[in-house]
Amino acid sequence: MILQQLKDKLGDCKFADKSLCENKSSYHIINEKEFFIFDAEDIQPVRIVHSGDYQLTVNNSSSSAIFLVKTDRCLINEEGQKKCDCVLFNDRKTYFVEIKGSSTGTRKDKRNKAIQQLGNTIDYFETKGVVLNKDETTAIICFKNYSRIAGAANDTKFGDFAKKYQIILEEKYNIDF
Amino acid sequence: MQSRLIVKNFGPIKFVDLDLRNVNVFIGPQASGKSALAKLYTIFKAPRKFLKNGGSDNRASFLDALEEYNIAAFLNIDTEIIFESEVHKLSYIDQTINYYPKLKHEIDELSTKIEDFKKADFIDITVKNQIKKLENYQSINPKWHEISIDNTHENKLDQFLKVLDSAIELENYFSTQAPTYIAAERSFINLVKDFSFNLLLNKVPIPKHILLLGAELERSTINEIDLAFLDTNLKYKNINGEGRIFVNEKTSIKLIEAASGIQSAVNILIPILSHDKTSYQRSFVIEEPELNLFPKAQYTLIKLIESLRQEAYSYDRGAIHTYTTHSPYILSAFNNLLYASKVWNEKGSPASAGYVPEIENKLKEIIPPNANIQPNIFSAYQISGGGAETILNREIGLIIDNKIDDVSDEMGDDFDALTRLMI
Repeated sequence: MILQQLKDKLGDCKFADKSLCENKSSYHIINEKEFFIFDAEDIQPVRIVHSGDYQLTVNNSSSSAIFLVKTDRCLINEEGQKKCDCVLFNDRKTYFVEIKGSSTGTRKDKRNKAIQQLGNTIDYFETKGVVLNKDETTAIICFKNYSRIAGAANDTKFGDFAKKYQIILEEKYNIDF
Repeated sequence: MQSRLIVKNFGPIKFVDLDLRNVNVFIGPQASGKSALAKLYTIFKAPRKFLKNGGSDNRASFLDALEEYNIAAFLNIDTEIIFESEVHKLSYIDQTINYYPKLKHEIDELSTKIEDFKKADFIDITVKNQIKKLENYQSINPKWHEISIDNTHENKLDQFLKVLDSAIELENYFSTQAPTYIAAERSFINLVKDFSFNLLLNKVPIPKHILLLGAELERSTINEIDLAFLDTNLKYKNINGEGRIFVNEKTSIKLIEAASGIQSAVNILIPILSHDKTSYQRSFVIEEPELNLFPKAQYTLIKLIESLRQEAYSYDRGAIHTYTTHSPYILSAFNNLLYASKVWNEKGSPASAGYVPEIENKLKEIIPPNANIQPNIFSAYQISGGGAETILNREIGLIIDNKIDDVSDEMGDDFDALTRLMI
């Protein structure tokens, strides 16, 4: 399972001494049928919320054990290439998630940056020897206000990502386990 | 067939240099010059359709041709237009038309060898070389050039003359057969055709390119078109010269009474299906195929049109399609057809290295294989600000960032901004 690999190869939170998180670990287990992920887009990593502001909805109808790994500003502390915000997985599915919520800037720029961050994180995991079941892995760009209008250029970027990483890339604001 | 169109200072166009293939797409804001370029391509592709004095100093004929397509006002004193294909090179520079019929010169050169050929019981090396040169012209069917050494002299001469006749015929065809221009005003033809005599009587100035399309639609022998891609059971039928739309076996309405999207799509499909029954290569310029159509129908229309297109490698088959569009759905449709060809080449084709039978079957369910577009025969340009830039990445064979797709993101940006105002 990916959880043990991550713990073995990447350890835990690299910012524990200055973390403001309630749970100082990079790893969370959630069994709820529905929960939300909020990224304040500040120096803190993403957090699980049940109300208020959020960008990503996680549906877990079977109430299975879902693992949240806070990657950016938590598990990974690498200079240079930015990583994605978090990884969510259970025993079957894995989602790499980059949230592009309320910060200013154009969607096009945010999307291009998100694609890089997701790719960087997958590359980083693989460099560290984490083995992914790519058939059951999806990369997600999460816009708070999702609106999918046909876009050939975006399709091309998604196709290119899939070819490069052998992982499907989608743009959405909710994921299902 | 590959061609090149260079245009300087013509209406909204400051400078463009277009590499055109068998499927071409022009996008861009309104009044950016997309249609003007498509019309220039239509005119320049068939020079002897409008040039009357062998091509030299034929400015008046050229102006008439521009007038026919409603683009004469775009001509400036410093306008330069150069079109080059393997058949001819035609330019308008310093207000002068210059026509160089490349293929015709090669054929004429070959014609001078007939007497030599008659005299000698061998194929002269110069004749062979001349025929060899013709073989470099992709549009000529190569099998014409096989003059068997083993044949008798009479047979060889006979074969030689056949090569010559065919070459003359196809060169003339290419130089006089302009693309069919399927204008955005195509539905207007249905509206006016019942009043054509009154229009003539009152000298209503209808642009000639619309009349040409009207004439082509009138000449059509297409009796039935399955329009299931628009709606289940929908059919177009020509009943005693009258176009009717059948919603089921018994109930029909006149084409003119049908929804505007149906009329628009039917007037694209009639010329294209008419060509499907003939053997010569044809070109079609299709303005805004999306007109009046629901997004799904835009997609299925492009899949249908492209599945009807045979590749235009030689004179005797295939079609060249040039589109103008504002629609993100049309652009995405082309991108899907390009991507389908990638999947086909890499995994779907039994001849591919990574062939997987299951992928072949699934791919066929998504995109019919005959609708696939190979990137090497495709070109796409964004026309704006007086210039043109390619929106096709030839290396990956797909469409890249462009102004149509930017609009979707800009709308999303505005929605984000509105949301921020609410919270």
